[in-house]
Amino acid sequence: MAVVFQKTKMLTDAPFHYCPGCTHGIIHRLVAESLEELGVGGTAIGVAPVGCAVFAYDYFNCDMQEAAHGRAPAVATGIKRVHPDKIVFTYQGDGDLASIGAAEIVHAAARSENITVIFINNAIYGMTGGQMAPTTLPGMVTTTSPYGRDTDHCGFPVKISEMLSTLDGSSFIERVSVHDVPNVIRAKKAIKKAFQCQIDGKGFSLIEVLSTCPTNWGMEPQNALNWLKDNMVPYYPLGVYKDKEA
Amino acid sequence: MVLAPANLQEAVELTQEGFDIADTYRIPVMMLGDGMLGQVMEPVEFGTYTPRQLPEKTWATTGRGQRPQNNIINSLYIKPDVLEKMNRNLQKLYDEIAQKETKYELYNVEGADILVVAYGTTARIVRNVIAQAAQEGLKVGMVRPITLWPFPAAAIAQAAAQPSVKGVLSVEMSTGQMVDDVKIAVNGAKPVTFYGRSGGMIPLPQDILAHIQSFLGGKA
Repeated sequence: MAVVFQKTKMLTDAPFHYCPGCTHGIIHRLVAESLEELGVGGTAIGVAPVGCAVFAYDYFNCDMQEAAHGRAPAVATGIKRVHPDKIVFTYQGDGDLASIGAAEIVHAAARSENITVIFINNAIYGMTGGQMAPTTLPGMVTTTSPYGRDTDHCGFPVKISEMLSTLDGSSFIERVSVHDVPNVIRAKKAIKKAFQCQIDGKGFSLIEVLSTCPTNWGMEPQNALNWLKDNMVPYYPLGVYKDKEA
Repeated sequence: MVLAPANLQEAVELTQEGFDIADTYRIPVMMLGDGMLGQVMEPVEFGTYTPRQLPEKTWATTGRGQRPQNNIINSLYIKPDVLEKMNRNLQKLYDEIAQKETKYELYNVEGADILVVAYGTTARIVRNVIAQAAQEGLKVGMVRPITLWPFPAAAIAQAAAQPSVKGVLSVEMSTGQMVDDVKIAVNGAKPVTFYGRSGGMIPLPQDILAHIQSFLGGKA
């Protein structure tokens, strides 16, 4: 019988610990498939964040390092500069990247480090119990904004893709989503292109992936996907924000 | 590991060795300087340090290549039994470092009336104290820790155990960060006292000597 689909070899057999309906699993697969299809599995070195994806080093079937909270781009910088011929990526959530790691990501982009950043934006701190994140939408209820994010008091969400695209050092930045099949396919294309950007030595690439957190949003998985589409996509418009080639 | 040079030549050599130590044991190495070392100018010679033979880095994340397994560098161990095993392995490593890497200098220690423990710039000042005390017929000895961790507790204990030694003085440019370690090392065998200045004030030889004399007179 012909094989029509099989799991990519760039994922290990370790079972994901992610909550049911969480889209981390899909995004892991897209990253792993991209590495395999580009033939860079043997040279890939990944850096895991602190947050829900902290165990990413158990799932990606390549050399991996764990970084201190928010410091993945700094660790990746070190790895890439020692091994410029290797493919170096970070996988970071919004608490890790947009809050405590804001300085690291801005300066890695500004320095045009030739690394690829996979940035998972689910508008909330997942692992620690659903607290308000820098990416939490105005009015959005979290455990630390029980009456909804009040922008008078808590300010406004940080739009990472828009922000980093203003830096001359960034080369390829795209925001994608994984709330339905067409978008998953687009996300895969974007991730692959970001890695290709690194392979071609073009400098800093980042893919922001809008992701769900059914557990901490307090929604069933399908409702969470719909909520993402109806609420996150309008606030965080999808598309290419930077492409030096174009 | 904490290295405490007392002059710039030593700082140059310990910095080079510090990198080799960090590489060998995979631990952070800190250079503990002070305001004086940071600002003073002294001639130094390079090329006096012989690099160590460094271990092969089979653990490094260099891309899996033809290796049968992935290399993973992390410090997160969720399962208690796994973490305990890790802790025990680390403890073994710390013991090995303490055994192999403890560094100190003994100065004028044999038959001393009083033993001073001091590191860094303070240790240089104590040399003047020792010279001044000798003129007054008082023999002051010094143990100078070069590594503050691992701490040369055995060397201090041994020097303090000499029958001639009446007491031990910890001199520091702090309000007493080392004196407790000195007390643990001496373990009650001799009285331990402390003299310190802070905020950038440098202890003067005559002040240290005055403290020693009042200590020997039973006052400090």
